[in-house]
Amino acid sequence: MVKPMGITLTAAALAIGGGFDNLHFGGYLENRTSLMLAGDELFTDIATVRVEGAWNRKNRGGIEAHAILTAALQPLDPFETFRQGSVMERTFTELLLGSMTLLDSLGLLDTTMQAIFSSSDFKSFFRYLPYTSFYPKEKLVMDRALIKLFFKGCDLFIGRQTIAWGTGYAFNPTDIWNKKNPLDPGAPKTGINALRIEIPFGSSSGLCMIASPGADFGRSSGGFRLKGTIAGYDLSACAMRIMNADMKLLAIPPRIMAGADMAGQIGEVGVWMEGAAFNPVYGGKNYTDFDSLYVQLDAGCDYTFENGLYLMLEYYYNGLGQTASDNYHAADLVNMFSGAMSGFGRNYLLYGMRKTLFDRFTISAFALGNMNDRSVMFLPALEYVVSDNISVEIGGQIGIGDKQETEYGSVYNSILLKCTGYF
Amino acid sequence: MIRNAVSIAVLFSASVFAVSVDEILDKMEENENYRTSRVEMTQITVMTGGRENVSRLISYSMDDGDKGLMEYVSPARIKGMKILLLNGGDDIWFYSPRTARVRKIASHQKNQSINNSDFSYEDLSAKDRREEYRCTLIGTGRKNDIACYTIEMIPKKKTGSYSKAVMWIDKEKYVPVEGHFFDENGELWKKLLIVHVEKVGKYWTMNNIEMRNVFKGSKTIMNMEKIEYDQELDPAMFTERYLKQ
Repeated sequence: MVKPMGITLTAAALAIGGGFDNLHFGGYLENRTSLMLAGDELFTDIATVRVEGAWNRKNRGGIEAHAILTAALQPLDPFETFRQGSVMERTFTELLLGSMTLLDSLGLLDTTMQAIFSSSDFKSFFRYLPYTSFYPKEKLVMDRALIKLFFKGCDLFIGRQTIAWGTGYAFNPTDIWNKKNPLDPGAPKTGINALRIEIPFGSSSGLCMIASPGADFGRSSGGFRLKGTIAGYDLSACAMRIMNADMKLLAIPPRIMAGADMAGQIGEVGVWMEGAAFNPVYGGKNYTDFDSLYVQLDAGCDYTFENGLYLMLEYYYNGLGQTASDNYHAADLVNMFSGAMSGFGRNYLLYGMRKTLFDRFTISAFALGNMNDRSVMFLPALEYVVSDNISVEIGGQIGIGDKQETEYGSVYNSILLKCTGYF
Repeated sequence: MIRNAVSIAVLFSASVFAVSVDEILDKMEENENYRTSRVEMTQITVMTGGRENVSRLISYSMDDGDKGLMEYVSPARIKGMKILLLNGGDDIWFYSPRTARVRKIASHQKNQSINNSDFSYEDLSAKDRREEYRCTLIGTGRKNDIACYTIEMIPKKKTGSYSKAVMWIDKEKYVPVEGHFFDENGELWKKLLIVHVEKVGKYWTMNNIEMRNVFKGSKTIMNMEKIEYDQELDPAMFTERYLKQ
């Protein structure tokens, strides 16, 4: 039975009243080894341990904390990822040089660094630094740390939490919280600091309001998502004012977003659509608000045949993207790193299949195409479920397209081995 | 001529069997007339090669099975996974705790197995037999040494993955003894075996059932360890909100 609680009720009070019967621990350990098929093959190896703890008091609330420890046993050298002289390497270098220029203008560089300010010297300097200069050997992240309070008419979630908006598979224009990698759509989304209120209207309808605090009100994000079901279709509309924590360093403007999404089926084919309009506000740069308005759209469909063969197709329109690879610049990388877009190009197409064989094997083959620079990343994979809690996956990333002038063609091919054990 | 043949067959069958199919279905529904249920169960899937997958889950239902909820307790890989079934299973939502995402299951996925078992989303749906199927009493006799009625069920609309089901119903307890499910080509696809039946409260309950996939050679055993009927359940459990809590 739902029992309303006062707003002053704290996690401590929940714990005192609840005992420890509902305390749960779990998580997984994952090891990713990749072999990049460059001239001299390069190994990388990243181990991740995720520890999840939750304490729930039925109908009243709970506490949840997830910690992720990442150990870069053999980190990736970022300058080796792309082919020498390719558009991707040029863009990456441009970004790092831009950052150096900014640091220099702020008087944060010493004379040693200022002396090596050409592109090639800069790369040489960085490449022979220890790997740990780029990636700390171990990184501990608090992915979730939240208190949940359930009232009769609403739920309150306070703290670091995962927010997953949108119906798209590889692209989620309305999900402004996460930096989604379309080459790994199933990767867990990371937590953000927020206060979230969920007000349900029915079994599958409700209003979600979010405030994500920054240093002050002016640097905070906030908005809402209204969700409902009409004629069998899940529909939602949302609006956000978005600030980025790195806005000063990376010169990312605040944005206003209005979006909508749907999921349902036409006949027996599953369909989804998601779109958002963004209006960045470039203060002091002579832009008017509507000059910078851009739109991102995503639409897809899928079908599973009786024999279990799953097919899917998804199109992504990135209004912030470029129509030609000549125009790929550091600013686009900044947009990708900030999560504003998921690729350099304007139009993308993802298509693929998945099929389980002999109960324990799942083969999949997906291809993500940048329709503007005509490059494709082919992603074949084979997963083997060793036991209830252990799985092994071997996959590949095969870039197809011009080796110098395209987004995916300029990436070295690689083989990935992923082992995951749950506890 | 065909119409005449069907009419004669119907008249013949009506005169042969002492009870009508509606009477049998009425008695079955009487036995399933609980307001709510809560079941703790172990699901064991025996793969073609003999390897086993074991998972534990808790299922809840209310409003004559119109609303259902399943929550996996183990193994760790799927712990916390929840499946919400509304409108008798016409609308299904799936929640994964790791992605914190609620996803609606489209109808093309309803014939797919849940957690690699031999049960599909469709098998778990609580359909109104008379509304969804054309039910015909096609015989009586003994099945697994139990006196049974044999009922043939043919979907009125092509929405599911089975073209036909044949159920053997215990004449005394009015619970299924065995069920056969046929694919679109009319070939036997799955066999449902009721291994053990016992009375829980006032309801005869199948507390050990087995679904065999004839094509794959695999089987899934559902062993209900703790069954509670007509307990108070919060209707708020059967909402998307609960999935995300």
